Amino acid sequence: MTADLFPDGMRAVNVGLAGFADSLREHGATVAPLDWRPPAAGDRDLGLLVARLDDDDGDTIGARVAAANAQAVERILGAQPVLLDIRPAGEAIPGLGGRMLLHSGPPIEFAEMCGPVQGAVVGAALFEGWAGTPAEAQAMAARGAIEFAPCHHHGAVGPMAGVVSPSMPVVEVQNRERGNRAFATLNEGLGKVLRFGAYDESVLQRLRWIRDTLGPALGHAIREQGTIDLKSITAQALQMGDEGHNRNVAATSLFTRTLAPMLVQTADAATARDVLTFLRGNDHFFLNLSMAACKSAMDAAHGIEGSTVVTAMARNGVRFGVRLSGTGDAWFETPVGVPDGLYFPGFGPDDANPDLGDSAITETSGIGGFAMAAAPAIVRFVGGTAEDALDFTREMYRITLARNGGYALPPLGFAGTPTGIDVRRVVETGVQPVINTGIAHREAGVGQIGAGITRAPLECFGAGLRAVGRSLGVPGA
Amino acid sequence: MVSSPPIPATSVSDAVAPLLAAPHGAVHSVFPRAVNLAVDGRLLTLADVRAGRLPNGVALEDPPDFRALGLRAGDRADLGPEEIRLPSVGLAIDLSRARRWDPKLAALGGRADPGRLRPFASLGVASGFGPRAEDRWRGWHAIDALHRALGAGDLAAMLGAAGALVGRGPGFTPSGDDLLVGFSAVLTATGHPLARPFARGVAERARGATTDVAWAYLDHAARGEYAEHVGAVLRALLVGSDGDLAIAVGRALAWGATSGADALTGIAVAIGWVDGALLEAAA
Amino acid sequence: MIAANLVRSRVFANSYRDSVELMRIAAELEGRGGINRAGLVMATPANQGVLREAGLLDATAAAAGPNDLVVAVAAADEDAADGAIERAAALLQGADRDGARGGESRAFVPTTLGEAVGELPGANVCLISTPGTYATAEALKALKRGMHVFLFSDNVPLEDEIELKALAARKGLLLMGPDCGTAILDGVPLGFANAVRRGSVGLIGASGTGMQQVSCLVDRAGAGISQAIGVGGRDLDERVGGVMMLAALARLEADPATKVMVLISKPPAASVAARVLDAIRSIGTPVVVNFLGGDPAAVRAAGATPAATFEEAALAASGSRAAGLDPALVEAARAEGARLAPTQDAVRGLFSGGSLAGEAKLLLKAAHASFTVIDLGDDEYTVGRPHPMIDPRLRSEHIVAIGDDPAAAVLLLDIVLGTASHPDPAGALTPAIAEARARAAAAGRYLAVVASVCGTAADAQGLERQEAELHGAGAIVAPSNAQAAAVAATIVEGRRA
Repeated sequence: MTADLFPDGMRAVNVGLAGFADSLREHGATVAPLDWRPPAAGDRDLGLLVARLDDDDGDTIGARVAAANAQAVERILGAQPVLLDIRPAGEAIPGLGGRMLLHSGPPIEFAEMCGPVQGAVVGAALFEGWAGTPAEAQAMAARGAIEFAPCHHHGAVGPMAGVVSPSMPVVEVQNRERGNRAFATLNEGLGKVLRFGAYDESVLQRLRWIRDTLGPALGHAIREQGTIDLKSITAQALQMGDEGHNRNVAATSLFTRTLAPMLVQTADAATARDVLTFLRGNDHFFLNLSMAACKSAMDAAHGIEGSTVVTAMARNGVRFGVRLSGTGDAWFETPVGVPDGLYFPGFGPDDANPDLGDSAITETSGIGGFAMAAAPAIVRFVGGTAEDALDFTREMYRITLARNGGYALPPLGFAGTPTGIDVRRVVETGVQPVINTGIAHREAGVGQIGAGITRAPLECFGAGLRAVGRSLGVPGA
Repeated sequence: MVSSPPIPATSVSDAVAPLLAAPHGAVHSVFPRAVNLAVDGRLLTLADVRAGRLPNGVALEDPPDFRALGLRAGDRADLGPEEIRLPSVGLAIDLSRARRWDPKLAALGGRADPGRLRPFASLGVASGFGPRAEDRWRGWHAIDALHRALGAGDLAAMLGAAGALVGRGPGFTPSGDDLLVGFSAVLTATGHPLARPFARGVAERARGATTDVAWAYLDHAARGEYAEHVGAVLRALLVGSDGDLAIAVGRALAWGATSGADALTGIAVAIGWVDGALLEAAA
Repeated sequence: MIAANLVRSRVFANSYRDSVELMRIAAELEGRGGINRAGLVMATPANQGVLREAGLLDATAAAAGPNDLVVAVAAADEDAADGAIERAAALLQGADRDGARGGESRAFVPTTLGEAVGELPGANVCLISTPGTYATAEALKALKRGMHVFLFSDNVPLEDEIELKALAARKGLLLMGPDCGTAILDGVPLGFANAVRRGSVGLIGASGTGMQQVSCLVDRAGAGISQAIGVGGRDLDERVGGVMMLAALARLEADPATKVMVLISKPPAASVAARVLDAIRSIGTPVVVNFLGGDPAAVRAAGATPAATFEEAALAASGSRAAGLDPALVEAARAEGARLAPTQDAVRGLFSGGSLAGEAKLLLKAAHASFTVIDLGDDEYTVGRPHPMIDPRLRSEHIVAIGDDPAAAVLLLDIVLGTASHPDPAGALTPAIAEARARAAAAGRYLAVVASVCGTAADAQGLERQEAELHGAGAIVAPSNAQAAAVAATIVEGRRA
């Protein structure tokens, strides 16, 4: 018969006037459903940049981006984070020495820091003995006698204020697949704690106990045990109601169960009792381990030229920052606001601190808010239904490159978590990465006053995309 | 024309491996995560592995949405030991790394304690097979009769009751057929002497009296072949722990819309938890 | 409990749905006014028994087989029953389009081209009719995904067109456009096109309505179209270089189904014309060329057949001879001319198709007629309003005004049928035509009306029906735009007021 252009039938995508699709269907073509809207919220140049960076094995730039992203995704999915040890930050973390403090989020000077972070700085200075009183500590920091750097620049991550000082014990996590290491302090628990900016004697006492008892005891047990497979704990926890950011009780329980026998064996009875009691009372202990594990995976995927994969999302209470695999050390920042959510009785949005912490590293690597389908109860914080939790995860599939089969989500038919945020897709669709977050009081030391679901701001991703475009020589980037 | 990359198959049921030599078949019916192919008068099902392996199945890793692809009943399928192709949508299924799976349910012997059926509470009635007069499918007395006939060891009466359940109920695998599959599975797994003759008799009566898809499962049951989720429930009931049973029941309930629940009802009927217990749950 | 007077059912073959879906639909039907009971079941003997007991079994349902899905309702009256069954059909069909995405509940609707392709792997063609600002990005994405592109949008920068066509050429894909209104691929009309017989004439054009006219006339001549490839209005511009026309020529040359080609466009830039004619010279397939108003000698020198009008091109390609103006039409034209008042000497053309307007202008000029021709599809008329092929209101206004124009002797119109066009273009204009004639008559003048319908019998609007409507309004209906212009020229022949 006649030779056809489409021997297996016309399969059409109709972008624009809906009427054109009707006659196609009437003539037997299959037409894809599409509710088109201008990409990049109508910004023509940004939309065109997305198109120029789209995969294309026949085009230098398109092929490079495709290959770079494939490599980045492979590294994320292939990461094997294990817990090796717990030891003082000054020993373990490269580049941390002298009078230096790490903090969460992108770089920031002391004068600009928000209340809780300044409070944590004061507390850390007192803890280290650099200052005798809060006023002294404040003055030291203000005159530049303390050096500050983002945790992220030193292979570390910190929840909330995320302040790390040399004497604090940190977990040492290694990504077995590539050998890189990541670090985080030990989670203090809830209430009056350093990470929310508190620095009174009770806080300092606890920090000392962590330095002198908790850290060494856990470290000893871990070294004797060999290693602890964090990926396996996370995978199980996701099937037990955790999502790895705001709900960590299952993972904490699994961790405790794994280590308890060795702890009892290596520590004296009183210490073991105290440590286990502490773990029993701290549902979020595993959060810091989860963050370090995610950091080790994302660091492995960082630094691949031409890749549009997001490797960090972090906030310092003033600005929200994003890093991409293909743009090296650059942070793409924008002022950050107060998260939307439910407040504990007595508190409201006027009391809230702008979004804070490195814990969005969990979402960056595909868990946390991205795995909300695993923990539907979270949506109560924004007045949603359990089905909404599934929808958040489904929505994230639209902006990620892969599904992590190692982290299967039973409520979604065991689909893997959405992994490998692609800045091209974020910009094109306008779908912002979702983040489950705690809300801190804006005054140092008051603590957590609520929790909510927040979205990473689009501006960061637009800026990042332009930077990738420039680095690849795309015209008009 | 742009084709998508081949979809890997992770397992092929022993029962349908011979069909791969066909070399052609046709698409029988299309669902979002599964496709039935008619090959040499039998049905071969391509389905997502996460839903559990099927006696007539080729399990696929991360398949696309077949309905959204535009795959239609009647489209050609090309079969071979290494690959299945659906040319109308440019799709290929790579069988080269698929492992073989034996769907035969082993006779484990033993008796299941009816008390262990607690996780089954209030099933069956969901599909309208309950004992209340207004339940529209009116399958209750057939279920009752089936149970009593089993107790009496009366094959003819069992087949008579089963005949009233064949093709009855909602869904493209009518609930009555799913129930009979569950019921047969118990007989097979407990090594009951009437297991084979009953299942064969049901399959014969069902030919032409129910949908093709339902008949395929009854046909496999006649050969002692069952879906993975059914086997898991039986194993957990007979030799497993309460935790195993809870998990297996959960996975079975996720099968189809009500097919899993209906199969569990059939299991419950066979084990004898009918009279008081189910009635209680229905109240 | 509604008194149920009748039972209706419908059978859906090969329709497999799970029980929850079916029961949900049944529940919705039962909630409708006038519906007593509803059942959606596979028609197994057991279920037919259940239907019978429920008073829902009619002959249709009883005749169905176990693999058939039956929708049965017991209703108070016909309307309720039919409405319910249609609703069930719509829900069942809708379920076809919603795929499951890691869960059964929410249907995911793509909002980007990439996502749409994700839902339809093997997508092979993309139609783009977004505002020009966004068209380039969408076309880039489509080409990168290996799809041919039908680019209807205009206001696409020239540099973008050049870049897109270079990419398309590298990938061996068609980029039809920008500003491409018409194509027919594998017999499927794209954009504004007609339902034309499949056959062996390959059509390549830079003019949308020109392609519509040629394809319709090929169909009218009993032949058919293999492929009709639009290349966009600017393809033959110097800087674009005729890239797509050359690619389409090569493609149709290699196509075993195409036995003759027709090329239509405005006269190309000299360098481009030379390149195209060069390519034609080395082609084996016979080629008919209509470069509207272009030089026929150069075409002949390239071994192709020149055609001065769309009609000539269509007839040459279909293997027919152009017979010239039908004598009956000439007679009718003269009769109309005899009725004109002394002030009336001009043809007033009001067109919806740009290429048809262009052809009419050329022919009227060559005939030395006094005329004005307005293309209402031109940008100046379409800013902020739909195209006249879709919305006839502006043209109607202009038509009525012609009734008051003392010099107007003939109203010359084009009626374009096909996909995307108005459902009844002729009918939509007849009131205005009547009004215009009435106004002329009231002023002691006679307004003649000449029209041609560009369409086929298979078009939804129906060629015959449209021509009949125009006859009914007193118009002389010519079988082609060229003949209509000739008739109009004949009516005013020799008149100078």
